[in-house]
Amino acid sequence: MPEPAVVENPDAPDTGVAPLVSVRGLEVAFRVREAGPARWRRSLLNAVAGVDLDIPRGETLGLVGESGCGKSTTGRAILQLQRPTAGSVRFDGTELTTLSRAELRRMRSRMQMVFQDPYASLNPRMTVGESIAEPMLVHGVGDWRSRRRTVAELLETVGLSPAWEERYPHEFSGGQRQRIGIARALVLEPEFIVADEPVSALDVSVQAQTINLLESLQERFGLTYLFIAHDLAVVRHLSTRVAVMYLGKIVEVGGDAVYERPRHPYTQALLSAVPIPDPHVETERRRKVLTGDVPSPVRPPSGCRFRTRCWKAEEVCAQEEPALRPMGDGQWAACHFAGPVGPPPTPALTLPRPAPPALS
Amino acid sequence: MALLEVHDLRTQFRSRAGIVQAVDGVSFHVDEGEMLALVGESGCGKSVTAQSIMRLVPTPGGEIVGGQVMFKGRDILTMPARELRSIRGGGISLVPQDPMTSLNPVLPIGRQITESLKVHLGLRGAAARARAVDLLDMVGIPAPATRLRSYPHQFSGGMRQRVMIAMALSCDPSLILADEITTALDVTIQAQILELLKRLTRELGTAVIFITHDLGVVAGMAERVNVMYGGQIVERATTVDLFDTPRMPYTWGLLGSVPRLDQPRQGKLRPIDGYPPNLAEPPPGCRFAPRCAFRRDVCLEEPPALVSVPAADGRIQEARCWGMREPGDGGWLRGQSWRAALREQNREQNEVHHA
Repeated sequence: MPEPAVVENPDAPDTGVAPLVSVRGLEVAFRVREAGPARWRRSLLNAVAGVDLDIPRGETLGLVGESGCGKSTTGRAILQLQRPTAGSVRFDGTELTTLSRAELRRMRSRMQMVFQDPYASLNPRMTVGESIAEPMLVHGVGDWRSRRRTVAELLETVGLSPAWEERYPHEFSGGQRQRIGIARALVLEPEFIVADEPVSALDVSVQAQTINLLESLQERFGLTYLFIAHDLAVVRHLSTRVAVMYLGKIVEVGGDAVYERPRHPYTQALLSAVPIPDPHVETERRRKVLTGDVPSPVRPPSGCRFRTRCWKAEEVCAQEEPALRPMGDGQWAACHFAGPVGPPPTPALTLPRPAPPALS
Repeated sequence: MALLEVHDLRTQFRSRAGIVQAVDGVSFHVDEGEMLALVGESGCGKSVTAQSIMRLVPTPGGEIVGGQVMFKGRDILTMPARELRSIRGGGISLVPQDPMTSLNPVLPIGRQITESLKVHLGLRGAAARARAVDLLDMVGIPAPATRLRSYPHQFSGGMRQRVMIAMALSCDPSLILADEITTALDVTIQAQILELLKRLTRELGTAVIFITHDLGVVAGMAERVNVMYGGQIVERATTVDLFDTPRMPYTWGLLGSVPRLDQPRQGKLRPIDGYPPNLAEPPPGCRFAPRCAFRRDVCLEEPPALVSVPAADGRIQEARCWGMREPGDGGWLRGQSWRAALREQNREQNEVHHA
């Protein structure tokens, strides 16, 4: 193993420790055909258009945004499941984008993915024991006996009975299948896991079980997560820091400040749209309801990509693309009007609420 | 008189595993112009309840085996087909979860809206088109006259849901069944659609049965809530009472399972153990008992009835729970604060784990 190179990182605060995962200028473009007025046209769709991220070891970075914003593609491109068009992805000091297939395969055991739909990601003709053991076969880990032992231990770790290893995926409920997906991701003892909407398809009660499982696994194995989701409450619960994506770009990133003092208008709108399970809060809230839909990523708006739906947009927004700028406290936002000086941003949530009536 | 009264509704499905009691003795009412929520997790019977109200249970396999659905004093379950058709067209309309599967992909949406105007209101030609333009304008679709010629795939998910709401409102129904209408949408679009539904039904005085799994959405929409579990209504209250003083341990579990954005970060979430019951072989006692941290022997043996519990300002709420009986009658959960109860349960579990 070569010495881990020092990551040049002009933007991020100097913590003295190189992050486990460091992404710079990541771009992914897909060739698409779209129906034009006369005939099919070929165009480029920039799903990820220049993303910078750092994930320190042992932390969870939440990546949020609405469908089509490029958050899943970012996750896949970091793991090289989707080769990036441009940019750099460093994992523990190793540049992944230039690795050969064989070198990449060796690295893969250290980073894994948990998918949204465990039913689609498990082979229906393999028993769950076979599915969980498969990565060990591929990577030549252990012998038959030790692999069986590992499978049994893992099933227990994720809260399933080891006796169920002979069963097939269809015999399990959605929440149980997600546990199997997690066991499979853990089998090679990875350091880094990209979890792509792992709880979105689950019912609330089962969702909470899975969230708790992901948390306790992180504590137990010192895992680093990239947690991709659209549910801001879940992301805040699980993540150390959060990055908000819109149309292929990161518009805001930071710690709790992002929820408490969101600087980017899109983050404000997103937070304001999340329903709160409390009628007292809901009746007093004033929502910032965004008009319109997300524009096509094939022809994104000039300048700031959010300007077509932004209530603050002015001429400069159409001409100049705002860069991510530091707002203090580890918070960064890409908006011309989100300066650390100037009027304080509107709080997205009305926090004060009447005390609940005394319980009978 | 209530607009809709559902009494002891029972709907079952035949499956390889046996007979599944999807809806098992559900009773509730909806008043004129009211928004009532039906909330629960997948498989709790909330959508089948909606299908049963319109007699749209999929056949063969599904069958309504008992109960009454009184709409404006007439029982939908026994009325002749002709009368039923007029109710489906004008009295009650359904907004489904996924507009893409309920719109015809090869017909322009104008044709699909005017079709029901023709069948149910007898509007034709220019009059029908004018009404369709009005409807699309009302739900906030830009350039409605040109959009009549567009096909469903040319609309975004949010816009398609607006079209569905327009179609649901087209024949001036007195009740709309909204079945998970925002589940497939992003939050910013969800906020738009919920505002729209709330504003239009308030203006038009339309009653709504709002079906969802999302407690957050319920809090901002409905006046009263029915919580369903395992084919039954397990708790019923005004929205404020349900969130302030939930009575059924299942509701406690639902509220403890969701992280809240408006409160400081909490430690671990408090999920409900286990998985929902198999309704082909429902548990003999309380359906929730096998997962309930507060159960006693009686819960596993005998099914509880809905019991009335006093709520704030002289209101009454109901819970299907043995523990919520009068304390003199053996109710051990009456007067418990749910937050304290869940904290206590957590502490005990931790002690067990560390022991």
